[in-house]
Amino acid sequence: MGFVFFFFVSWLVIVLFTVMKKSLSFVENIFVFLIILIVSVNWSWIIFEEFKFLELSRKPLDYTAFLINRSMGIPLIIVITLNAVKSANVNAKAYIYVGLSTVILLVLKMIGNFLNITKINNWNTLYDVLYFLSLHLIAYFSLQMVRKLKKEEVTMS
Amino acid sequence: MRMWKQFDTNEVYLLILLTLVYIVLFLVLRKKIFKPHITLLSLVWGFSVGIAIEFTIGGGLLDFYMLNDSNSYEVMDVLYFLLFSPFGYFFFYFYHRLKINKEKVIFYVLAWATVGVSAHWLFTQLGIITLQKGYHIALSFPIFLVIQTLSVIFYEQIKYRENIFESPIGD
Repeated sequence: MGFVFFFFVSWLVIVLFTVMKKSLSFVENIFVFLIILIVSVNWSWIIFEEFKFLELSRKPLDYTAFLINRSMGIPLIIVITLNAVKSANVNAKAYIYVGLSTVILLVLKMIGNFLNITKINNWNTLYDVLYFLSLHLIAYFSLQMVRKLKKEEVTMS
Repeated sequence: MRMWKQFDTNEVYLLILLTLVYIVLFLVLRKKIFKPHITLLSLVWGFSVGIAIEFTIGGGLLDFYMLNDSNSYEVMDVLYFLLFSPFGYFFFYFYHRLKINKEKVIFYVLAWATVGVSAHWLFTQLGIITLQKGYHIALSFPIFLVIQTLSVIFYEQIKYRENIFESPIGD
Protein backbone atom coordinates (compact mmCIF):
# COMPACT_ATOMS: atom_id res chain seq x y z
CA MET A 1 0.00 0.00 0.00
CA GLY A 2 2.82 2.41 0.96
CA PHE A 3 4.65 1.71 -2.27
CA VAL A 4 1.52 2.35 -4.36
CA PHE A 5 0.80 5.59 -2.51
CA PHE A 6 4.32 7.07 -2.75
CA PHE A 7 4.73 5.90 -6.34
CA PHE A 8 1.49 7.73 -7.17
CA VAL A 9 2.61 10.87 -5.31
CA SER A 10 5.94 10.91 -7.16
CA TRP A 11 4.23 10.32 -10.49
CA LEU A 12 1.84 13.17 -9.69
CA VAL A 13 4.60 15.65 -8.81
CA ILE A 14 6.56 14.70 -11.96
CA VAL A 15 3.48 15.31 -14.14
CA LEU A 16 2.66 18.54 -12.30
CA PHE A 17 6.22 19.77 -12.75
CA THR A 18 6.19 18.84 -16.46
CA VAL A 19 2.95 20.65 -17.26
CA MET A 20 3.35 23.67 -14.96
CA LYS A 21 4.43 27.10 -16.19
CA LYS A 22 8.01 27.42 -14.96
CA SER A 23 9.69 30.61 -13.87
CA LEU A 24 13.10 28.94 -13.56
CA SER A 25 15.18 27.85 -16.55
CA PHE A 26 15.97 24.18 -17.23
CA VAL A 27 19.49 24.54 -15.76
CA GLU A 28 18.18 26.35 -12.68
CA ASN A 29 15.50 23.73 -12.06
CA ILE A 30 17.99 20.88 -12.40
CA PHE A 31 20.56 22.63 -10.20
CA VAL A 32 18.08 23.25 -7.37
CA PHE A 33 16.73 19.69 -7.72
CA LEU A 34 20.24 18.20 -7.39
CA ILE A 35 21.12 20.35 -4.36
CA ILE A 36 17.91 19.32 -2.56
CA LEU A 37 18.53 15.69 -3.56
CA ILE A 38 21.99 15.83 -1.93
CA VAL A 39 20.57 17.34 1.27
CA SER A 40 17.59 14.97 1.35
CA VAL A 41 19.72 11.83 0.88
CA ASN A 42 22.25 12.87 3.52
CA TRP A 43 19.65 14.07 6.01
CA SER A 44 17.59 10.87 5.78
CA TRP A 45 20.74 8.74 6.13
CA ILE A 46 21.91 10.65 9.21
CA ILE A 47 18.58 10.66 11.09
CA PHE A 48 17.53 7.10 10.14
CA GLU A 49 20.74 5.09 9.88
CA GLU A 50 23.26 6.98 12.02
CA PHE A 51 21.35 8.47 14.95
CA LYS A 52 18.33 6.17 14.58
CA PHE A 53 15.95 8.92 15.66
CA LEU A 54 13.47 7.24 13.35
CA GLU A 55 13.21 3.67 12.18
CA LEU A 56 12.85 2.66 8.56
CA SER A 57 10.93 -0.43 7.44
CA ARG A 58 13.14 -3.26 6.10
CA LYS A 59 10.36 -4.60 3.87
CA PRO A 60 11.60 -4.16 0.26
CA LEU A 61 8.48 -2.43 -1.08
CA ASP A 62 8.16 -0.07 1.89
CA TYR A 63 11.85 0.73 1.66
CA THR A 64 11.50 1.44 -2.08
CA ALA A 65 8.56 3.76 -1.30
CA PHE A 66 10.82 5.66 1.09
CA LEU A 67 13.58 5.90 -1.54
CA ILE A 68 11.13 7.20 -4.15
CA ASN A 69 9.88 9.90 -1.80
CA ARG A 70 13.40 10.82 -0.62
CA SER A 71 14.95 11.05 -4.08
CA MET A 72 12.06 12.20 -6.24
CA GLY A 73 9.04 13.38 -4.23
CA ILE A 74 10.70 15.75 -1.74
CA PRO A 75 13.17 17.46 -4.17
CA LEU A 76 10.51 17.94 -6.86
CA ILE A 77 7.93 19.36 -4.44
CA ILE A 78 10.56 21.92 -3.36
CA VAL A 79 11.41 22.76 -6.99
CA ILE A 80 7.71 23.16 -7.87
CA THR A 81 7.27 25.46 -4.85
CA LEU A 82 10.28 27.56 -5.84
CA ASN A 83 8.84 28.00 -9.35
CA ALA A 84 5.53 29.07 -7.80
CA VAL A 85 7.28 31.44 -5.36
CA LYS A 86 9.24 33.08 -8.18
CA SER A 87 6.06 33.63 -10.18
CA ALA A 88 4.23 35.19 -7.20
CA ASN A 89 3.70 38.92 -7.64
CA VAL A 90 3.21 39.62 -3.93
CA ASN A 91 5.29 38.38 -0.98
CA ALA A 92 2.25 37.10 0.91
CA LYS A 93 1.50 34.70 -1.95
CA ALA A 94 5.07 33.39 -1.87
CA TYR A 95 4.85 32.71 1.88
CA ILE A 96 1.54 30.89 1.38
CA TYR A 97 3.16 28.65 -1.25
CA VAL A 98 6.03 27.79 1.11
CA GLY A 99 3.58 27.12 3.96
CA LEU A 100 1.42 24.91 1.75
CA SER A 101 4.44 22.99 0.49
CA THR A 102 5.69 22.44 4.08
CA VAL A 103 2.24 21.14 5.09
CA ILE A 104 2.19 18.75 2.10
CA LEU A 105 5.67 17.42 2.97
CA LEU A 106 4.63 17.02 6.59
CA VAL A 107 1.44 15.16 5.65
CA LEU A 108 3.49 12.83 3.42
CA LYS A 109 5.82 12.17 6.35
CA MET A 110 2.83 11.39 8.59
CA ILE A 111 1.32 9.07 5.99
CA GLY A 112 4.71 7.28 5.91
CA ASN A 113 4.40 6.78 9.69
CA PHE A 114 0.77 5.70 9.39
CA LEU A 115 1.64 3.12 6.72
CA ASN A 116 4.49 1.79 8.90
CA ILE A 117 7.18 2.79 6.41
CA THR A 118 8.80 4.88 9.11
CA LYS A 119 8.51 4.68 12.90
CA ILE A 120 9.31 7.43 15.39
CA ASN A 121 11.85 6.55 18.11
CA ASN A 122 13.08 9.84 19.48
CA TRP A 123 11.75 12.59 17.27
CA ASN A 124 9.59 15.69 17.33
CA THR A 125 7.41 16.80 14.41
CA LEU A 126 8.75 20.33 14.93
CA TYR A 127 12.15 19.10 13.67
CA ASP A 128 10.46 18.05 10.43
CA VAL A 129 8.82 21.46 10.09
CA LEU A 130 12.22 23.15 10.58
CA TYR A 131 13.87 20.74 8.12
CA PHE A 132 11.27 21.29 5.40
CA LEU A 133 11.42 25.07 5.86
CA SER A 134 15.23 24.87 5.66
CA LEU A 135 14.96 22.93 2.40
CA HIS A 136 12.98 25.84 0.93
CA LEU A 137 15.65 28.28 2.09
CA ILE A 138 18.48 26.12 0.68
CA ALA A 139 16.60 25.91 -2.62
CA TYR A 140 16.14 29.68 -2.70
CA PHE A 141 19.81 30.43 -1.98
CA SER A 142 20.98 27.79 -4.50
CA LEU A 143 18.93 29.56 -7.13
CA GLN A 144 20.36 32.93 -6.12
CA MET A 145 23.86 31.48 -6.43
CA VAL A 146 23.32 30.19 -9.98
CA ARG A 147 21.68 33.46 -11.04
CA LYS A 148 24.57 35.46 -9.55
CA LEU A 149 27.08 33.34 -11.50
CA LYS A 150 25.09 33.87 -14.71
CA LYS A 151 24.89 37.60 -14.07
CA GLU A 152 28.67 37.81 -13.56
CA GLU A 153 29.18 36.01 -16.88
CA VAL A 154 27.07 38.63 -18.64
CA THR A 155 28.91 41.50 -16.90
CA MET A 156 32.31 40.02 -17.77
CA SER A 157 31.53 39.43 -21.46
CA MET B 1 29.63 11.06 12.67
CA ARG B 2 33.35 10.52 13.21
CA MET B 3 36.37 11.42 11.08
CA TRP B 4 37.48 7.80 10.56
CA LYS B 5 37.45 4.48 12.41
CA GLN B 6 41.15 3.93 11.86
CA PHE B 7 43.43 6.08 9.73
CA ASP B 8 45.33 3.57 7.60
CA THR B 9 46.18 2.79 3.97
CA ASN B 10 42.70 3.19 2.49
CA GLU B 11 42.46 6.74 3.89
CA VAL B 12 45.93 7.55 2.51
CA TYR B 13 45.03 6.16 -0.95
CA LEU B 14 41.78 8.13 -0.88
CA LEU B 15 43.61 11.39 -0.12
CA ILE B 16 46.18 10.69 -2.89
CA LEU B 17 43.42 9.92 -5.43
CA LEU B 18 41.46 13.00 -4.39
CA THR B 19 44.53 15.22 -4.81
CA LEU B 20 45.34 13.77 -8.24
CA VAL B 21 41.78 14.05 -9.53
CA TYR B 22 41.43 17.66 -8.36
CA ILE B 23 44.80 18.65 -9.85
CA VAL B 24 43.60 17.27 -13.21
CA LEU B 25 40.30 19.13 -12.75
CA PHE B 26 42.03 22.47 -12.14
CA LEU B 27 44.28 21.93 -15.16
CA VAL B 28 41.28 21.15 -17.35
CA LEU B 29 39.28 24.07 -15.91
CA ARG B 30 41.98 26.48 -17.12
CA LYS B 31 40.61 25.94 -20.65
CA LYS B 32 37.40 27.74 -19.60
CA ILE B 33 35.30 25.90 -22.15
CA PHE B 34 32.01 26.06 -20.28
CA LYS B 35 30.33 28.99 -18.60
CA PRO B 36 30.92 29.02 -14.81
CA HIS B 37 27.34 28.08 -13.93
CA ILE B 38 27.50 25.10 -16.31
CA THR B 39 30.82 24.05 -14.77
CA LEU B 40 29.22 24.25 -11.33
CA LEU B 41 26.21 22.26 -12.57
CA SER B 42 28.47 19.51 -13.99
CA LEU B 43 30.31 19.23 -10.65
CA VAL B 44 27.04 19.08 -8.71
CA TRP B 45 25.72 16.52 -11.22
CA GLY B 46 28.71 14.22 -10.62
CA PHE B 47 28.45 14.61 -6.85
CA SER B 48 24.69 14.12 -6.56
CA VAL B 49 24.47 11.14 -8.93
CA GLY B 50 27.31 9.50 -6.99
CA ILE B 51 25.65 10.17 -3.64
CA ALA B 52 22.22 8.99 -4.80
CA ILE B 53 23.64 5.68 -6.08
CA GLU B 54 26.02 5.11 -3.14
CA PHE B 55 23.33 5.72 -0.52
CA THR B 56 20.87 3.51 -2.40
CA ILE B 57 22.94 0.40 -3.15
CA GLY B 58 25.92 0.97 -0.85
CA GLY B 59 23.84 1.31 2.30
CA GLY B 60 20.40 0.80 3.79
CA LEU B 61 18.50 -2.33 2.82
CA LEU B 62 20.80 -3.41 -0.02
CA ASP B 63 24.11 -2.44 1.63
CA PHE B 64 26.19 -3.99 -1.15
CA TYR B 65 29.46 -2.47 -0.02
CA MET B 66 31.20 -0.96 2.95
CA LEU B 67 32.90 2.38 2.52
CA ASN B 68 36.30 2.82 4.18
CA ASP B 69 36.44 0.96 7.50
CA SER B 70 32.82 0.79 8.65
CA ASN B 71 29.20 0.83 7.54
CA SER B 72 28.56 4.06 9.44
CA TYR B 73 28.97 7.53 7.96
CA GLU B 74 32.48 9.00 8.35
CA VAL B 75 33.99 12.30 7.24
CA MET B 76 36.31 10.27 4.99
CA ASP B 77 33.20 8.99 3.19
CA VAL B 78 32.40 12.58 2.22
CA LEU B 79 35.89 12.84 0.67
CA TYR B 80 35.12 9.67 -1.31
CA PHE B 81 31.89 11.25 -2.59
CA LEU B 82 33.85 14.37 -3.56
CA LEU B 83 35.82 12.16 -5.97
CA PHE B 84 32.70 11.93 -8.15
CA SER B 85 32.32 15.68 -8.71
CA PRO B 86 35.22 16.19 -11.19
CA PHE B 87 34.02 13.24 -13.26
CA GLY B 88 30.78 15.09 -13.93
CA TYR B 89 32.91 17.83 -15.49
CA PHE B 90 35.28 15.42 -17.29
CA PHE B 91 32.27 13.75 -18.90
CA PHE B 92 31.06 17.09 -20.29
CA TYR B 93 34.59 18.17 -21.25
CA PHE B 94 35.53 15.11 -23.29
CA TYR B 95 32.05 14.91 -24.79
CA HIS B 96 32.71 18.34 -26.26
CA ARG B 97 36.44 17.94 -27.05
CA LEU B 98 36.00 14.57 -28.76
CA LYS B 99 33.07 15.98 -30.76
CA ILE B 100 30.76 13.14 -29.74
CA ASN B 101 27.84 12.69 -32.13
CA LYS B 102 25.13 10.08 -32.76
CA GLU B 103 27.66 7.69 -34.32
CA LYS B 104 30.19 7.95 -31.49
CA VAL B 105 27.86 8.19 -28.49
CA ILE B 106 27.53 4.42 -27.87
CA PHE B 107 31.33 4.05 -27.73
CA TYR B 108 31.62 7.12 -25.49
CA VAL B 109 29.09 5.75 -22.99
CA LEU B 110 30.70 2.28 -23.10
CA ALA B 111 34.14 3.82 -22.52
CA TRP B 112 32.93 5.78 -19.48
CA ALA B 113 31.06 2.75 -18.10
CA THR B 114 34.36 0.82 -18.39
CA VAL B 115 36.20 3.65 -16.62
CA GLY B 116 33.55 3.57 -13.87
CA VAL B 117 33.80 -0.20 -13.35
CA SER B 118 37.62 0.01 -13.42
CA ALA B 119 37.54 2.78 -10.79
CA HIS B 120 35.22 0.64 -8.66
CA TRP B 121 37.62 -2.28 -9.02
CA LEU B 122 40.56 -0.02 -8.07
CA PHE B 123 38.69 1.20 -4.97
CA THR B 124 38.16 -2.42 -3.86
CA GLN B 125 41.86 -3.18 -4.40
CA LEU B 126 42.86 -0.13 -2.35
CA GLY B 127 40.45 -1.06 0.45
CA ILE B 128 38.37 2.09 -0.03
CA ILE B 129 35.27 -0.02 -0.62
CA THR B 130 34.65 -3.60 0.49
CA LEU B 131 32.05 -5.57 -1.41
CA GLN B 132 29.54 -7.52 0.68
CA LYS B 133 26.25 -9.43 0.54
CA GLY B 134 27.22 -11.23 -2.69
CA TYR B 135 27.78 -8.07 -4.72
CA HIS B 136 30.11 -8.57 -7.68
CA ILE B 137 32.04 -5.77 -9.36
CA ALA B 138 30.45 -6.69 -12.74
CA LEU B 139 27.09 -5.57 -11.31
CA SER B 140 28.41 -2.00 -11.38
CA PHE B 141 28.47 -2.11 -15.19
CA PRO B 142 24.69 -1.75 -15.73
CA ILE B 143 24.61 1.00 -13.10
CA PHE B 144 27.35 2.99 -14.85
CA LEU B 145 25.70 2.33 -18.21
CA VAL B 146 22.48 3.95 -16.97
CA ILE B 147 24.31 6.87 -15.29
CA GLN B 148 26.43 7.66 -18.37
CA THR B 149 23.43 7.41 -20.70
CA LEU B 150 21.51 9.80 -18.44
CA SER B 151 24.55 12.11 -18.46
CA VAL B 152 24.47 12.20 -22.30
CA ILE B 153 20.75 13.06 -22.29
CA PHE B 154 21.38 15.68 -19.60
CA TYR B 155 24.27 17.30 -21.51
CA GLU B 156 22.37 17.34 -24.81
CA GLN B 157 19.31 18.86 -23.13
CA ILE B 158 21.21 21.76 -21.55
CA LYS B 159 23.18 22.35 -24.77
CA TYR B 160 19.93 22.43 -26.72
CA ARG B 161 18.29 24.91 -24.31
CA GLU B 162 21.04 27.47 -23.77
CA ASN B 163 24.50 28.57 -24.79
CA ILE B 164 26.71 26.65 -22.38
CA PHE B 165 30.07 27.64 -23.82
CA GLU B 166 32.36 30.41 -22.70
CA SER B 167 35.07 29.53 -25.18
CA PRO B 168 34.20 26.33 -27.12
CA ILE B 169 37.78 25.84 -28.39
CA GLY B 170 39.41 26.67 -25.06
CA ASP B 171 41.69 29.60 -24.29
